[in-house]
Amino acid sequence: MQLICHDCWNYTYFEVDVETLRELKADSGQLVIQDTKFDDFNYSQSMLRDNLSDIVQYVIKQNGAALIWDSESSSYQNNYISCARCGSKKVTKPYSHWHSNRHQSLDNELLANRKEFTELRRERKYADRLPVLWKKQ
Amino acid sequence: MQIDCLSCGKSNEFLLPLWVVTTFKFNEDDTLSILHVKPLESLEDKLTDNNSIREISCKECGSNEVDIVFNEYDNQDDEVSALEGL
Repeated sequence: MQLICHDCWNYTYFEVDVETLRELKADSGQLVIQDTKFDDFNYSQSMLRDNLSDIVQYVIKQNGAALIWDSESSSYQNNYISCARCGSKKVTKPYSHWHSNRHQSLDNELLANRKEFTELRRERKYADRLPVLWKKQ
Repeated sequence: MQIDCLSCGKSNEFLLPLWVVTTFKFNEDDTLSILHVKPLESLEDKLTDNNSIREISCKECGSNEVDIVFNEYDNQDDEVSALEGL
């Protein structure tokens, strides 16, 4: 499993926009559109496969860099690859910490953790003021 | 229709980059298989768009200086002479 859709949990079928090359041949007033070939090598097909592989490998390697924050849906979306089943762009690597639905602003995160932080500070404040048990009061 | 390379002038083969949307799947051995390829851009629009014409390059010399004549039989001089004849 390399990539996963966060909406339908599809991990097999995806879509991506790829640039390829076509050859135009103007012949006796007609325009012929075909694959680009150099000798026997089909450059159009090779370019399509290489570009597809490059984008997929890039997204897998640079998981966070391929994601953009979408404020409308309040989720991270993949800038390159979308799900071929449901069309969602919430596609990441599995076990990614860039969870699409778990984003919260820094203010909300600080607020949620305020109690824990207060207890932490209180521990430090009273750490050297614990009662000394071996002294008579 | 006729496409001329203004740089070398001898090629009739040209290259045009085109974006396509590719549907693919991950195989069990993590290789990729292409299921479907659909063009995202219209070739006709790219040929008639002045900005996109610069993307066309000559296959022979690689130059982007090309001239596209959509109807080489459409000669304005003939029309003028015909009107003058009338």
